[in-house]
Amino acid sequence: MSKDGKKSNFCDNMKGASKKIDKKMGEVKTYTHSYLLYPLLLLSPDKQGEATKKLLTNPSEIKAFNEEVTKSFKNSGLPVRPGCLLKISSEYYENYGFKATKENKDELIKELNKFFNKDRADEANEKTINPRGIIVQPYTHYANILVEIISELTYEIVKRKAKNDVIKISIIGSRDGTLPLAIINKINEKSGTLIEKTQLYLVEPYQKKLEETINKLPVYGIKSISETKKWGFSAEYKTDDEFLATQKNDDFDIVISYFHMHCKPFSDNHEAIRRVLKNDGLFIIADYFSPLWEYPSFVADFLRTIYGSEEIAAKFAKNFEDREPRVRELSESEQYAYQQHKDYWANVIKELHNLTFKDRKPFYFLRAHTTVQKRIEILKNYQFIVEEEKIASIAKNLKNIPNPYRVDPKSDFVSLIVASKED
Amino acid sequence: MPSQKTIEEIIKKIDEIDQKIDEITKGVALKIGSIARIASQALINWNIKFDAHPQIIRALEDKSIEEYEKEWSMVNKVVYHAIHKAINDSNLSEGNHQLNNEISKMAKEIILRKIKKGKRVVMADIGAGTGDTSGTIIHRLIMDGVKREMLKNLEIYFVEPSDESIIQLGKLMRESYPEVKHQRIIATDYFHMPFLKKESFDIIVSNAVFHHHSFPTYLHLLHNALKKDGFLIIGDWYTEIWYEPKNVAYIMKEGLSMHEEKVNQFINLFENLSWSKIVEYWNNKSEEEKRRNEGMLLYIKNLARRLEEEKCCIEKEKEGEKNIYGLETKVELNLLEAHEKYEDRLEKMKKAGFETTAEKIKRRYKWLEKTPTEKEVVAPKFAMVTMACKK
Repeated sequence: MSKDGKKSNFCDNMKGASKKIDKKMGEVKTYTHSYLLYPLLLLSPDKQGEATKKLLTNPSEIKAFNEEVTKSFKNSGLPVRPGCLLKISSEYYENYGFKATKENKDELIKELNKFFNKDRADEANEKTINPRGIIVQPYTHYANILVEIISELTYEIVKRKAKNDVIKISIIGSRDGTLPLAIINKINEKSGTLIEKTQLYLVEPYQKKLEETINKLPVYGIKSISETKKWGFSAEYKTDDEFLATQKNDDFDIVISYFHMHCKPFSDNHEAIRRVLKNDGLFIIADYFSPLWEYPSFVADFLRTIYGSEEIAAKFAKNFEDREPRVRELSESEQYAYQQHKDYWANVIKELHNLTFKDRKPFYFLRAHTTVQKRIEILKNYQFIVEEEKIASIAKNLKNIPNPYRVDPKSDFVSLIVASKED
Repeated sequence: MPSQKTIEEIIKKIDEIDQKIDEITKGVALKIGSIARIASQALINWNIKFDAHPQIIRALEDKSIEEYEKEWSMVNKVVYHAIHKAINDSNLSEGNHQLNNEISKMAKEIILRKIKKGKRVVMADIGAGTGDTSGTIIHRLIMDGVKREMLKNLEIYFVEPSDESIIQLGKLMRESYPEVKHQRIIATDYFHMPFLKKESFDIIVSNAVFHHHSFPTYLHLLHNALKKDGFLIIGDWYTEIWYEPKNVAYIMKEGLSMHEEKVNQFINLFENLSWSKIVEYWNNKSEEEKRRNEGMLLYIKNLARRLEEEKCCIEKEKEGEKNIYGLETKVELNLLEAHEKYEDRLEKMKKAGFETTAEKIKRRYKWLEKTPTEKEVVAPKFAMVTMACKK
């Protein structure tokens, strides 16, 4: 509701904001700080029309629909494009006019993996880039804060449990090694010997990044598990699903998903994670949380903002005219996350322009981001609980950290969730 | 008093050597650069002899700053990204991250003591980058119970030469820590900063910056700017690799894969130098020094590779007429910097009036009993954080 009690249309507000910025800044091709000009947008959905078309469930029809949408951007010359619709969270598929079912899921995942494999190959050949490699403040700082908190939590658990056992930790999405190295440093700094009670499984499908991490580890005195037979690291050049499938039940003390869940449209790995975790094990998720891809109209708004073009926004939106349902009301922290996510991307796009590539490919932005609340709901569906005092109960010096922890308390965008298995 | 002629002759000698080196490294992306950039105590090894007269020192320092500013003008976005990639390739990003962490732990203890009592704390962050060091310090304060209201007592002066970084820094401060008063100054030469007034700072921090400064004048300035009970915390990378032309010759061959002819041309610039002597010199170092050198060599190899890659990409894009970088985008960078041995830096700090001995610092400031005043990261004496107070 607006301050004067009137409902307003979210999309119109978005358009209004963009137009004002366009006017103010002339030919705006990138979006800068407009959420600071409009700190709290009036988000009360009153979208005209409802979804009248039947949800697509036939996998061939879904694939065809996806191809139709993506084809409209082919040869457009646009450096940044939506990409495969299946990459958004499956929780939001219905907002786009299709649905994942037990019958079609395997087929959809197979289709998704084609795109993910291509993305990985393009990144490996430096035809594109993972935006996480670009420094965008304050989000880089926020990510560093999460690294510090996760390292502290991990150390405390290792300290607590090391008397009896070797502590097994899996880091899914270990990327360039920032998190595993931070954990190793924390353990070494606070107690040099505890590292010999720790096993770190680094799960990363991008081989080059994994190799870079492995090359750095000996500097910190950490050996491979195959060498010590007891402690150290194991480099798992696999996807998380591939890795988890090979692990025993009730075996891991901690599984960390590090800025990785937004690459997982389906949350099935939660079942596998639950299986491999010990009863008192923790599932820690650090990620960018946002509703930005929840609805096609949000994506259209994003396109309008980054290109300053109604035409480009409409090119995307028109595919969903009779498919998109009424837009829900976003909470304040979701609204801020929405704006911060756009801001993040605006800065990434500016930087993309200045990077060189061996053979530049367009960048496809759609990913499986969800809000914090949605992720907690998903976790509950897989019999995980998220207790408010969990972080504080593990580490004394983190006693002021609630769970979930929003680094910017106003916003979902960079957040940490610590989940435990429900009894 | 040295004559103007004497000063000019010294500068001329530096220019001559620089010119000859520049000729040898023509056409490559990663050049050797100016010997005026190296740590002043090593200039003698490069055949630059001078009396330590203030006027001569000032002239050499100005020369060094001039070369530093020339270098900064070369660091366009493409070069910056090559550096960033090479840092990631070489383990140094984790090192910088750790340096930030250790600086923030020490700084937090110092600031906390005053800020919890409601006292105003004035800090300078020299070479602030995009704000990671100060951001981490502030975050630690909040984690230690400092309420947002109390952060109004913290005032930070940021000095940073990159306008891009300072924009990011401003965003970080505005959005994450709006309670903290701050000023951002874009400068390569902070020697003449009006804000560095006598005894006005409680704490000055700096991460990976002072290896750009050949002379220790900045230490004297910072000493002057600190309050009587003020602290200086320096995080930096330490290596003696630029001290000797022998090391640079080795790097030219093993790090930059330069043609033997070019390496020999470089060797011939200096008397009594031969490749066999160079290899012997390189291999006959302590284990610690070898580790530092290997760390630098890895970085240099990666940096050279990344710069050449960027150069190729730009040339390809120009050919394809995409040309989004503009015709003027050069991909060039200089190697020589003022890295020095850790012990040499400590000596300079002592001469500037700083106390760096842990025992003496803790005797004076008993509340620092449990706080380390010196921390090593990555490898022995390669990346260090040092706390110092005024003697």
